[in-house]
Amino acid sequence: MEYKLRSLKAILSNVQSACKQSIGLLLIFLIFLVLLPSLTAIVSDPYKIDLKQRLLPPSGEFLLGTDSLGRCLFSRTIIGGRNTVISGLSATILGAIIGTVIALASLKAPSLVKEPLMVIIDSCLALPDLLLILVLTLILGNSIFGVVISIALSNWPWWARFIRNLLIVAYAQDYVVASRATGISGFRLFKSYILPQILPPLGSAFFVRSARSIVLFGGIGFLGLGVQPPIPEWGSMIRDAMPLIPVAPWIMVGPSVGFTITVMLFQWAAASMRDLANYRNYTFI
Amino acid sequence: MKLLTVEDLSISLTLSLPGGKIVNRQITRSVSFTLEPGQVLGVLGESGSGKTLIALTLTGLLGRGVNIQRGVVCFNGNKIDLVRSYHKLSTFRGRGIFLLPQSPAGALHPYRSVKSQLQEIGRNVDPKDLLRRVGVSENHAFKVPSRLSGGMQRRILLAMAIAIRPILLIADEPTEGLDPITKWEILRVFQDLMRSNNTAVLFITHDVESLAALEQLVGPDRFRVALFKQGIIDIRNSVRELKELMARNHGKLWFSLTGTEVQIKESKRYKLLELDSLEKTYPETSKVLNSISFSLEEGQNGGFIGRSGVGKTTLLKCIAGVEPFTKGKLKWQGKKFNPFPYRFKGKVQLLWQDPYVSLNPYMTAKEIIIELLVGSRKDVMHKLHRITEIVGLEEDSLHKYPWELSGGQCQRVALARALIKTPKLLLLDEPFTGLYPLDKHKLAQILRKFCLDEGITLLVASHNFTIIEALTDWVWVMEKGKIVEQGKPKEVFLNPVHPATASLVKAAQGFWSLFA
Repeated sequence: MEYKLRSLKAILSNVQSACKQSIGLLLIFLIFLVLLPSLTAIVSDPYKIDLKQRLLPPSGEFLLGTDSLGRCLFSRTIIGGRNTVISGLSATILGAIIGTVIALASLKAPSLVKEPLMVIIDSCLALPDLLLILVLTLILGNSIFGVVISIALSNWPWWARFIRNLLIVAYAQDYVVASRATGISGFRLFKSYILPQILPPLGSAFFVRSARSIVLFGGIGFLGLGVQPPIPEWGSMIRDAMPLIPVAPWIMVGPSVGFTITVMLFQWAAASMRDLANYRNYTFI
Repeated sequence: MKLLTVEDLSISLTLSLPGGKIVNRQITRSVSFTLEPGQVLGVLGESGSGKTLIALTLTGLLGRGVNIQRGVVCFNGNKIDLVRSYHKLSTFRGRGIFLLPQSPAGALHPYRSVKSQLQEIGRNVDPKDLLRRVGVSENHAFKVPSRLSGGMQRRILLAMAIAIRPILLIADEPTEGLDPITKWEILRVFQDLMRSNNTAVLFITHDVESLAALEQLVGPDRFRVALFKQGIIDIRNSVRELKELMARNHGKLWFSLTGTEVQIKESKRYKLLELDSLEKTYPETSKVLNSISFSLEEGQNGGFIGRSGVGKTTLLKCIAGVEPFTKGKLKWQGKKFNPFPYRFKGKVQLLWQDPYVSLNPYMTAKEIIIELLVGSRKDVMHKLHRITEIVGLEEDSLHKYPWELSGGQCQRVALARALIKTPKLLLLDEPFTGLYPLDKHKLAQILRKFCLDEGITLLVASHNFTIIEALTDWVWVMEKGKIVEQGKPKEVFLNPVHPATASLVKAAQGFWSLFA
């Protein structure tokens, strides 16, 4: 029993150290996605339609096969991945920025502004995400830009609440109060007292929410809204592949594996952020 | 049958200094001791000598950077080799070994009421009965721990211990920062626990008075005491034997603070701080401070004395501008001034009751101390060396983080930070609680002289007569948020008028009489 536990612990600690490096992994993955399309030697034209080469299985020429219009699935997965991941990330960043501004306003503004602001945040949080995004996409139009804006607009109340709570807890710490009493204020207070406290949870939340936004972006595409053909995007690629699964199952592989790997990497990165500033590493097991 | 046997325990600490240097420091050298059921072992030692580390080792809570080199622990018939299967110790935590930690505020849940935390222990636990047994009023059951004084928090932890009925209770500085009356009460709880449950107690402290009192309460045959010095343990059978040993080592009665005489410089004085019927109310309670009025002249050190929970800490926090007061006026250098929020900007410094929670865990001691200084590197370093010499900090503890320091070292770091920019007024809340008695004596004298030279006025809140006498010229006695008596420290202690003062003096004399 003890031996088993120890080996389990060893495995866990290995996974943990792997997590610590996963932030690097994630960066490599992102750079890969951005750079690869320029390497024309690997990625061929994702828009080129060739009806003679429909539904071909994976081969040397087409690494992941071709779809119902004879387009190279490998290059579509890569370019589509770039669209999906970058859109999800930028939606999260935009949402976080709006949320931060609102959170600061809800803490610093006079109470005449503060109280209605909190009511607005709470009522926005009560709306179901997907429904809000669908309505906003219909209003903003079917483009990458429109979907990104609508995801960001559905995201910000969560960020506002989260950052507000983080800041309130951070400023209420005894050592922050004590140091303010000694005369530390302004940027120095923020830099060495508040930032170390809020950065790890903020980083974790950023990666978890990014993964979520990426899946949401795919979901919008899957429903047929958002990005319109012929622009490749993982969600719409999965939708296109659905009826063809009995005939050509390989069409599904690229975007599905892409989603899995991306979300997994983002979750790992979130875990690594948690370890980043864990000074008090007491052994609790 | 032996309950706990510790054999040949050696612990070292790995420190990384700036520049990538890694230093190993030996903390304990082959420590061995035994404990039988229903017995007390008092552990006495200087701050930073590794007393707390032993408590953490026995509960399996050691942090990073601590290496166990050798050691075997035998608890309740289970033999554990600490090097190989250290984590097994954690299985005894709770019903086997209960740790009463040094900082009670950190050990209680900050957002849940006392009652719900006590109920969590088990279904058949009656929080009201527990609170009555440790002498806390039932009115406090629905409050969160941060609304209670340090002494009450400690008693609530003890109430948990009573409910859990552990086989071994490790108490880390259980009487630190408590007034004499509360100290007696807490020691009686220990006695009660040992009688009703035959619990063994490892009593870690630097307070020889409470050890002597505990010896009297439990009887000499169930009491032993160990002196911890430079990592070596020296076990004696009674406090009297220990006292003789200490007297030999230090050459004098080391626990006495009396005889501190400082010449007061006569100069043109003006009123530094005036308070006019100050009041403070928390929303859910009655008045914490009730029409407090006094004035403090520059260079005249003042002190507040009273039981824990009478509002001394709240008063200091209101003066420092950490908390707002509800009513009344505060005059600073003759002008009306509202210090809240944080408007003194360093002119008034506050030394917190629990120095550990007042230090930034993300910075080293050195960074914390010099954080407020501006100027060339040479000047800053010069000032740093001067201050660390005064408060008595060693060079290598400057590179540690607060959570790596002992309670006494944290206190010194906090004091250094408060002194380094030469404030006009220094507020000390239960100063020197984490320190060894001899160090207390030295530091009090040095601090008083330094403040006199630099023109710093002191305002001390304490329940300890000796500290008040050593540091102040004038004392106010507080009871339930009011000032009930005032005068020169010696006169107040010798002729107490108010019953509250009289009972405090009586309890303190009870401790002193143990050494007569």
